Amino acid sequence: MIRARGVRAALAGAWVAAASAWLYGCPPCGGGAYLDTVAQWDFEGDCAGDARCGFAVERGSASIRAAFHPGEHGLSIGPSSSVVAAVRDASQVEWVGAPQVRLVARCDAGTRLTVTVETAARASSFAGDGGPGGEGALESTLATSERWAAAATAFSTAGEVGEVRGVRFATSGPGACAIDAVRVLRAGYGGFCE
Amino acid sequence: MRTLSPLHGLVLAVALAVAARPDTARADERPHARAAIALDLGASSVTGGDYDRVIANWGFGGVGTAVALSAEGGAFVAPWLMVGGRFGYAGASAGNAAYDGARLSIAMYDVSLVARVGVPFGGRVRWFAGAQLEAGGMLATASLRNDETSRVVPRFGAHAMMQVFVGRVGFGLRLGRRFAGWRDAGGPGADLDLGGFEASTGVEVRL
Repeated sequence: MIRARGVRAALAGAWVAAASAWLYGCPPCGGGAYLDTVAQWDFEGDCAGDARCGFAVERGSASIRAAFHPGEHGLSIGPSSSVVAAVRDASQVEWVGAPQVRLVARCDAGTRLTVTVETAARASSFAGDGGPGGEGALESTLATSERWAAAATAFSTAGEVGEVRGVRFATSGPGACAIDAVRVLRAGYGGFCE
Repeated sequence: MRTLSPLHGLVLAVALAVAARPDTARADERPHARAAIALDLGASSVTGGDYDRVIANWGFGGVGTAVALSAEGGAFVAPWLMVGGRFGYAGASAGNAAYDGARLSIAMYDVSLVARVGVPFGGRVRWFAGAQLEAGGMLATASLRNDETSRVVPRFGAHAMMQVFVGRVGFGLRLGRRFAGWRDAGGPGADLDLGGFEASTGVEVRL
């Protein structure tokens, strides 16, 4: 009799433990960095009537042109030219590290393509001290070729970087470059449960 | 007046007898076809090459397997040799863009000269085993978001074939290779290799 009561108690305890695990999400919870797209340009459609899909010409010339096919378009940046686009980084996520810019690009022989990301101090932060980072510019020369290929920035920074306010592409050299599928990415940190 | 000797007469008689001999050998032979028309349906791979590596940057998966159709016709200059021409079509998808899912498609239309050599054999059911060579031109078209770009390129083909005939109608199988290329199809330095392996089955009628 006593033995049967003990077995029933053990089974009841097991049921409670299993239910608790199911209710509270026993599978492990954790946190980590993730990449989020802050801004992107694909240069398709009429871009709401904007001839350069959000990019303004600062110097030289630029225009929307066919990439590898007449149905796929990119931004062609002329010799010794520069274009800039504003970025609205309104997320409240606490970004970690420097932003990344990824794109598909090609350049004529002997021509370089440089990307500059302009940042500004965050209006508020979780730390309550006015936010990490401040106004500044991160510049990187992309590794490009005459053939269309993926390219990405590799900024080296010390300390935190604020909000992204704009991105600039500039060419130097005798020829032109073309860009497409531009993404500005930030690494955030968050918690999650599986 | 010179008269024929008995020897001359004998030679003349033998010659006339040979000339008048019925062609028993030809009467036993099956008359070979004069011409043929055929329809084929199959599939082919498309190599892609550098073009696939370039379009992958936009999320396209690469040029895949093509559905292929062809119509052929030719004349038999000998039981083992047919010369003629073909019209063919092959169409393949190159995947979808990551941005909006737009599909990139490749279509190939070809007109080629054909030379087929082979050995017919068998009795009541006739078989044909041989090889076919093709040479001509191809119109290759890439379509994306209601826009097209095209190029005419040379095309060559080589196939092994096996057919079985019942009467004048034959059913066959072909395996072979297509050779064609579109230079700079994906921009500077990105050629599209339109070659690939082909397999098809078809119907042929001999006239």
